[in-house]
Amino acid sequence: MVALFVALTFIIFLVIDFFVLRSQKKVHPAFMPNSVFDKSSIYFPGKYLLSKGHIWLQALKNDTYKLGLDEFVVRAMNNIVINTIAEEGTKIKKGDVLFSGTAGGHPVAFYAPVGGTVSQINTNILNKNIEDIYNEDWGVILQVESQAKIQEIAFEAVKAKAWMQSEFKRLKDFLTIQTAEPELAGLTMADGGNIAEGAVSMLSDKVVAAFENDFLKQ
Amino acid sequence: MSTQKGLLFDSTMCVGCGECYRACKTTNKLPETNSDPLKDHLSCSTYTVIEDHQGKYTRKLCMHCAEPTCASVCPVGALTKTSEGPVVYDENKCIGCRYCMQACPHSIPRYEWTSNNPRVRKCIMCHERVKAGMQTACAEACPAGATIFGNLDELKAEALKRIKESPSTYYPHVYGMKEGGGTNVLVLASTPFDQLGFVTNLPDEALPNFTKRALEKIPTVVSAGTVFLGGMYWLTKRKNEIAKENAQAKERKN
Amino acid sequence: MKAAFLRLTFWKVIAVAIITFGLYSTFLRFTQGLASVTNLSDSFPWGMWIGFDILCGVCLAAGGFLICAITHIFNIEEFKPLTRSAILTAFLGYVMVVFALLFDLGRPLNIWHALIMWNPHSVMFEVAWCVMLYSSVLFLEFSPVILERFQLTRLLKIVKRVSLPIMILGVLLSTLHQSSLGSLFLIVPAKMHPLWYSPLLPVYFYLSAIGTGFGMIIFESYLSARSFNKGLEMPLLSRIGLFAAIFVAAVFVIRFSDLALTGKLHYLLIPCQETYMFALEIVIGMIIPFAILIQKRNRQSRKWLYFGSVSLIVGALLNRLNVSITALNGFSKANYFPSVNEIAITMMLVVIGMIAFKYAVQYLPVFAEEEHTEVLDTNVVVENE
Repeated sequence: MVALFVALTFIIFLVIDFFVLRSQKKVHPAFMPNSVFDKSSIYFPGKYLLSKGHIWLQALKNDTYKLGLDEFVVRAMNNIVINTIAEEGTKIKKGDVLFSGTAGGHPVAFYAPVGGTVSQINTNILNKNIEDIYNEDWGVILQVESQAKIQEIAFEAVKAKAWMQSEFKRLKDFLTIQTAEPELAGLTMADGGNIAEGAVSMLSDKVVAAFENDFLKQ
Repeated sequence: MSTQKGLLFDSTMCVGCGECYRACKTTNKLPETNSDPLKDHLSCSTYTVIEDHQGKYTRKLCMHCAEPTCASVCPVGALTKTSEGPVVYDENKCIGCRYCMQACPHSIPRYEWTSNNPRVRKCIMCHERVKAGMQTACAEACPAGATIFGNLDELKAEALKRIKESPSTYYPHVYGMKEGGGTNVLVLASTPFDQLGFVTNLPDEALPNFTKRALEKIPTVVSAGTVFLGGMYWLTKRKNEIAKENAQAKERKN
Repeated sequence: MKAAFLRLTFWKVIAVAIITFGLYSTFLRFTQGLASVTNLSDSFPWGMWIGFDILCGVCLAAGGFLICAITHIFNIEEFKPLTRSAILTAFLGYVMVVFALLFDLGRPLNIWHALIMWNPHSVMFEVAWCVMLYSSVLFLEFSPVILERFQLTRLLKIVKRVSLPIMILGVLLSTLHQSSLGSLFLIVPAKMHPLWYSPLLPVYFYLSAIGTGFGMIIFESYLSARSFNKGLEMPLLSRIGLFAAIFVAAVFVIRFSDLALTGKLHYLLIPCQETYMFALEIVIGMIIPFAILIQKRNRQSRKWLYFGSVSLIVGALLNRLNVSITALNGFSKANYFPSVNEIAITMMLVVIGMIAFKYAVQYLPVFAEEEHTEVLDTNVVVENE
């Protein structure tokens, strides 16, 4: 009986807490949708590099890198569909459009973090949602102009994660500015700390363009 | 020759007069708890009682096990088996964990629950008297000869002799001969012992052996555990290093 | 802003009420003895303070040694983000266990006697030493967080140098006392209900502490997420969930094989309180969490992973209290149920532990990873290139 009493007391406390949170219009972490974009769950693989335009780089050979979109943009916009990729064999400059497509139907473009020659593209990512961010769904393989430049424009993995978390804060500010009342738009979670996944692409063409300007052009 | 003393209680001879109960109270300076010794129960002020089981009287007191469970479980050694036989308690050592009470197979030790500095209380077989060569107060007081004090070996022989001489009077077992590894208090009865409130499902093996078997494994667990954990550390560390080196070598080759 | 204030008030009021009543009970306990606050008796000398505060407390604090073993001995480094909060929970848990012991011991001022008056035959003696040493080990394991906070670099270096032997010692001590809490009951074969008594009690206690410890790591991550606006490390927690399922299954198989081999299965058919409690313990503590956590889909769902961990914890509470109270009730016929004061003191200790955790998180870098070592590692890599 004592065992039953203690077990029930424990459960009752959990249930009370659930209702206390609900009365404050908050959600217990267990009942948040799995698609919450929260700061600390951002992942970035070791040994990868990250540019400030949210393109990751993985060294293949001395001057050859695999490039793709990072988790931050994928989760901030969700539903990213790439329609065009820079063509194979072309030479591109830093800041040229690397991929373009739509996010939730709003047009968006991603820019090359460094100049070089496109040696291979991944056509598998065309016209579908990006899911396996750091592996299968890579974008292009780029032979960079200058190896030294890479060190300038990209973060090491450890710093990249911290930087992405600071970008998260910036994103929250961005959303607050772009929409007068983000709560009503359902963009931020009730606890105020997290952002709904794909918050950016829920808004207008104008906001996506502003996001592109503020976060992707670096 | 063992120096162990003991008590033999022959319940067939007990008349339920309560002299042992009163003598125990006087000797141990215990406060009066009940005017009728047959209606009392063991407590921190009562070390022995007489129980009436449908006209058959029996005594309840510490059995003074040969290998006492209470002494084996006490973390600070406050309970000890003396060479004379009594199991005694040192209140100055006791921390009050009450494991002795929990572990005692006969559920004998009692506690001073209302005290702010409580002690464990139980029959100590009049240890001071026994050391001085006297018999216990209860044995001395018994007018019917139901409780007798003596050398444990002789008492055992006496008990067996009584059963052999009048098999119709006795249930053919001496309680305490082998229960939980044997006790220094032996009991004879005319009926099976569970009818008199004795615990009859005890193993013949001394109970301390049950935990001893677990405790004996500790050195093995510690040494094997150290080797295993150290080995795992070295192996996994090495594995991680090799993975890192390989990754670097690959990068360099590329 | 208003909402945050409201939330604080509700639980604050409850916490203050519990602590006030707990302190009043504490006063009674230390001025008028155990009888004034507990329902303990000569026929039932160990109650809720031993069964819940100590047995459940130690079991639920197992997460600390598990995470240390995973990250520092098995060198699975991804789990490092979980280390500090698990060690802190374990440390506070053990401090609370020691406090509870001071309430329960009849002569708490003599607690130090275990240091000098040895009885190596006593399981309690072994447990006392292990708990004492392990609490110190936990403190050392947590000390880098404090040293980092106050930038005591030299001390930090010394602590980090001895960290491996300390981690190994921690795992060994935990193995010993987690299992020995089960050994405590080996000595009462005649008093305990046969469904729970087994010579393998120490093994069950150890393995179930591991299963529950994993459950606790998950549960406390949710608790932190709920209270500190912190995200959930879902990929890590899912893997922890799988570990828990494996250990729960192991305990289930061993326990039922043991029951079958010793011919005790027929006890399951006797309709009595013990049988029902046993069934409840098995269903809630083993079958449900295994069914939930063995499926990858559930482990990746926030909701189901949470339910799995809650079920593991409820199962552990049932198991420890069944062993220490339900299984002994039939023999003692005492029908023990804790008094209001016993419950109040227990709750007070839990509340104090939670408050201490909250302040530790506020003032110490508990949720930070071990930045120093990792930054150092990357530098090495860069140099090699």
